[in-house]
Amino acid sequence: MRKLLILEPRKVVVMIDVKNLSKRYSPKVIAVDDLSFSAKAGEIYGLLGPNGAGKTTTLRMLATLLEPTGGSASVAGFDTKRQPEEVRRTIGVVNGGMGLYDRLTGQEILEYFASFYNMGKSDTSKRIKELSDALEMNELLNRRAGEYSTGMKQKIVIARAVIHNPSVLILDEATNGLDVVARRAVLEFARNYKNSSRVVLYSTHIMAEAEELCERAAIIDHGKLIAEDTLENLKTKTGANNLEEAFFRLTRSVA
Amino acid sequence: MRFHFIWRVAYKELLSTVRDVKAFRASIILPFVMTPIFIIGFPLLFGNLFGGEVQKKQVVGVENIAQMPPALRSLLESGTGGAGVELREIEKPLEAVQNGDVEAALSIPKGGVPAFAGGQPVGIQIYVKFSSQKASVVREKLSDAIENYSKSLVLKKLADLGLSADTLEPVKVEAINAETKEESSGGIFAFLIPMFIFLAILGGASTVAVDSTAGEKERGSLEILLVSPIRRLEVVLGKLLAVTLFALFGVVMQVSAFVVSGLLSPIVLKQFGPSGGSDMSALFGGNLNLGFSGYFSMFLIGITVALMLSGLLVAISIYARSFKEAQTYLVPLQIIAQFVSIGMQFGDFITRSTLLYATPVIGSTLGILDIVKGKATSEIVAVIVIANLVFAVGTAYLALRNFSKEQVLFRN
Repeated sequence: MRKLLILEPRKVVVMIDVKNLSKRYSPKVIAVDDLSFSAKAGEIYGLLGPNGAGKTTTLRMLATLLEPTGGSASVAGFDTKRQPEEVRRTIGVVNGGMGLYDRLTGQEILEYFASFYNMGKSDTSKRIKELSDALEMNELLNRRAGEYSTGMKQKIVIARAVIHNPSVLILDEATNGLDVVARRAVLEFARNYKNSSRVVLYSTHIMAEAEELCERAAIIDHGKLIAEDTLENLKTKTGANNLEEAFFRLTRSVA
Repeated sequence: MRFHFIWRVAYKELLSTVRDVKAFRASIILPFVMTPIFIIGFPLLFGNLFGGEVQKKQVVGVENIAQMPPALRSLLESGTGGAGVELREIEKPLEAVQNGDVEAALSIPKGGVPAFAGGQPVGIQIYVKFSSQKASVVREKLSDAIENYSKSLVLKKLADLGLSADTLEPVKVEAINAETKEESSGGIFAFLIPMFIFLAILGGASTVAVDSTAGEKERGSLEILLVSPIRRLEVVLGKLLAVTLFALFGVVMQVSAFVVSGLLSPIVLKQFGPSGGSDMSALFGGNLNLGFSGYFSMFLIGITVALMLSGLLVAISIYARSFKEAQTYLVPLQIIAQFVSIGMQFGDFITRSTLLYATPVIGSTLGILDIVKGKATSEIVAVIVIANLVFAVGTAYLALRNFSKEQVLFRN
């Protein structure tokens, strides 16, 4: 009989801990430079910055897809370098690509990904049913993804990311290319997903979305941390009326 | 390594490919359409075309037609073996042929053509376009008729002198075909048989390789897959397994198409073919019947080629950022396979060696050609199979190496 490896998320308050993280692609190209921030359980944490600021590279390092060239990061208490498989078991990722397999049905896609988390057949069915009810995607499950509209795809993409009930949900420019209804659904889902044992890391360049969702945020530009605080403090410190204005003042002062 | 994860990845790729109805249908239909066309259709077509040309009366221009002896004219118009030709008087034979006014032309000397042997030889010129295959039929008709006329004059002269016709040929020469049945079964176009197998492998496997690597990258689903607890080694092995299975499917389809076409060819050609159909069929490999060991050896080489190419296809495709880019990268691979196969029509001039048989693509092409010609030994097949397996390990390693490189996986 195969030995089952049961991994419980450790009881930690800090769910994402980034310390002096760097990624240098070449001697001249530094995508992330000495970045530090931390996100706690029960919050939606924003990773904000313009396009090309280093957000995606940071998230890829957190997701163990890229290896840092400096510093360290831990996710749910697991070190991304030393325990990459445990980290991947703990996270769920939604990126803006909405990549689905066109010739597979929604059900097949979800079962495919669930199988990598060693979820049994009954657990998988139960979880798909739960998500289907929550995301109102029952009629999608038996249709091939190639027939989906963008909004429909987004539902399956979200369900796929949380099929294993991850304690860390990473959303990277997750509303890219979505219409207003689908965008609203993503924001609602992110808001409802956080609880006392989970964290949502929300990466975006759209300040209005961050202002609506996040309690705290790190603002990065050219791979460097510019500020990290609660949104209220960021606005107060810069004397701005809204986050977008605060963002502009912070990035301009550095430039 | 978790085999159930590897199988999950492979199964998903296979399911996805099978549901790509057009690509899947093509991998089944193409071998079963292209092979019979080549082995049965071409002999039928060319046999009928060639036979039709022989039976047709071509228009032949003649300069100085009045100087043509009636016996020669009769031979030309009645023909030998097929229909004769229709003669028409012209003034400028070269121009008439070049302009297409006539299919061929004869130039009879102004002094006329002798009606008996023994005098000064006289030349008759035949004007035809040498590069035209159609014109070769009329050229042969004219040559045969003139040679027959010339021979009849000699025979008459010999008879007048009281000598028999055998006086002309005190020694006769006869060439005997020493080829075995297997050697001739592939026909002169046997060099195309390895190409069919290579194309079947590449055709089937490329779709899966490109879709499962560059396609996944383009859709953004590869990143999501790698974020799950599956290891990169397991992902590569799963994709390699799917690509290899599809490549093997291509080999099975192509070898089956050869078997079926080889069996059907004599029946179809006997029923519908022209009199020369069986000769034509032999020319195109219609007599292909390799027996169990031959087909098994061909299958064995095909399998190892499939294994070798699968790794290479995955290793190359993963470099690409999109489906289209990957397809572009794979074109040279197809060109190499075709180039080597076409080059092998001069395979008889190549000195075989173990090293040559162990060379990727070239060795396998030579090996399949040897099997078709009944020349392959079990040692040759073993060398090719072992070499291909070694290269398969190398290409699989290359695929894994590329999958481990950040700059390859996340190249923007």
